[in-house]
Amino acid sequence: MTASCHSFKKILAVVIMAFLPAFVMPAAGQSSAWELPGLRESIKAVSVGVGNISTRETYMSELSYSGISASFNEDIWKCHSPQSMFGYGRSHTSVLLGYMYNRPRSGRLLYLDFEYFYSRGWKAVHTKASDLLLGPAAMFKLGGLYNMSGSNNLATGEGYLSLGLCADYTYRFRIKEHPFALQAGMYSLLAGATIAPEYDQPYWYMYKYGQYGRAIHFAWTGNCPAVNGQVALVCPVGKGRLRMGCSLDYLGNRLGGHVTRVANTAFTIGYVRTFELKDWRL
Amino acid sequence: MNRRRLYLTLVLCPVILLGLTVSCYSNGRDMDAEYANTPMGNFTSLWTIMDRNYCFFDYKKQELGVDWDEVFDRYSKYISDGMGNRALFEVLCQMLAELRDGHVNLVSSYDVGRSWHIKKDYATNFSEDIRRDYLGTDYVIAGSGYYYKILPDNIGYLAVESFEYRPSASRLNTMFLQMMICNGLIIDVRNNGGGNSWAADDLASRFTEKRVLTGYSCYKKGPGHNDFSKLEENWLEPDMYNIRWIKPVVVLTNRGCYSTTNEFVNIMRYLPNVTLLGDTTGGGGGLPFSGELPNGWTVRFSSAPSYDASMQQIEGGVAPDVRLDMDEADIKAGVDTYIERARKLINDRIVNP
Repeated sequence: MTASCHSFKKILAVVIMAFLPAFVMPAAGQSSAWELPGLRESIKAVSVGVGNISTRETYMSELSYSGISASFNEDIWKCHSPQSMFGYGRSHTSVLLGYMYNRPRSGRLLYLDFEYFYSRGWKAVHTKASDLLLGPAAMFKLGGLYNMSGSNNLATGEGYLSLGLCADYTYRFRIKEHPFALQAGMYSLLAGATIAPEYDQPYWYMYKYGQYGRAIHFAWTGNCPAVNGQVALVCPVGKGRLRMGCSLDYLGNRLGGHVTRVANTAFTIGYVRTFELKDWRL
Repeated sequence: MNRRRLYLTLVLCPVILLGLTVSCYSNGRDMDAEYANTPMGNFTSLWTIMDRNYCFFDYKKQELGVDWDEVFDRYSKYISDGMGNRALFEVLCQMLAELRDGHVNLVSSYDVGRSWHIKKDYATNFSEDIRRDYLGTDYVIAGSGYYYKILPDNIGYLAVESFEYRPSASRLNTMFLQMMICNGLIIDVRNNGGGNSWAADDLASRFTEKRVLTGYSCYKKGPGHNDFSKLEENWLEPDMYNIRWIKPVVVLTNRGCYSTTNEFVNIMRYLPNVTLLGDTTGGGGGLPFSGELPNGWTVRFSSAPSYDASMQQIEGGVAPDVRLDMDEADIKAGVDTYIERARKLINDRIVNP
């Protein structure tokens, strides 16, 4: 971790701590900080995050970089049919940008990643205090590393199309009369397809000679672990709800004769809103 | 019912989490040993990067007698824990220089290690001053590094100093239109160290009316010295939407023609009406990639080799059709032996097509 990263984090922490009391004054009037959406309801959580990102890649040579990251996340929960098996839907969209240095600080990497997954949830647990949604999910992920000191291998890419498992747990509690909710969510890849060049295969050759077939691999948890997890606290503020927490994105593979790994941990803060879906049918 | 679900969940979740943790852990473990940032760690890292990724070991063994394992034994004796960065840099550069490959460089914050044997061991066959005299001051600039003019005997002269810049199709069209009245064209790529392969393809595609097989390419698909993918054909497509040149062409080459220029010369030799005149090109037939040492120095090396249409290496250069050396008397008189001979070739061809 670099000195500038530390100082940036310190400043950020001071700013957040200074404004936190203003935000975290829950409105006592609200009955709950978080409930599963009802029929024709949609819950949208938007957050931004800053954190620490690190990567290791062995394409051509060993590269270990770490630095800072910024992310934008949007999660939408909907209730399609409360009676059916997987009646709840969740979509997650995130964009992540990382800026990293190597250990001697002689090289720099840029990382850009787009991720989307959609899951259908089975209400495994539903009590007054907690909910647990479990279900299948499909994920699409596209990203790339740009090595600012590379030769013809300036950029490496990653792409995932996978099926996985998604879990969303919510625990509701009160401190005095103020309602809070603690949430933990996780997506994990189970099986799918991913891109990894065959040993030293130039990305340029994939395009020039159409060698995509050699670069597409079957991915499963064993050779390509991908986990997206987050823990967040939700508390009502006025008429809205504040959601803050931390998230972890881990993506790795050991395919094509080399290792790729990207890990990002971030502090996230945002808001939650509930929308009522209008039925315009006559 | 809810209780059964709760139990099921309490059993399932830890199992899944445990599986994921094991999976992430095993993925996170080093597949290859990570080297320490010590002189020996950096030395071993560099040797290993080259050993696993450099594509010309067999060729270098055949041509130069380089045995990479023996190179490790010989140079590792010069590595000690107390040595400074500059001393380490020097030893590593000397080790890489064994390969005599212009695409192999070691880059530190204070120097770039390189193998310039092509500039040292062979005749230059080029004079910048004389070329400047031929171009005069009224030449046309078709783009950065592309200069042309029409010589007095109605022969076009195009000097391409570098392929770094890729001129637009319209600029090339303008150039060919202006030289439309010429009887032939001299393309002077001497001392052109290469650049963007698209730029070379763009120019070469103006000199053919049909699709031409110009060579093959492959890449390393494993760490062994002979782990190569199957050869892929390289075809030059004629630029059917722009002006093409079907009159005689003479390409002037010397040892300074490297990398993309080497590739350009290789392509041009398969085209009709083209004569290569001069010295064998410098080579550089591998697509260079780069890696990084634990101390942050970067190493560039040839990783994906190219071959000519006969499946022969072009790493050692492309031989000319007409071998020629610059004449000392000509140089003293300010005459470019190459250009004069090229003019003669074109004029003879006009008389005796």
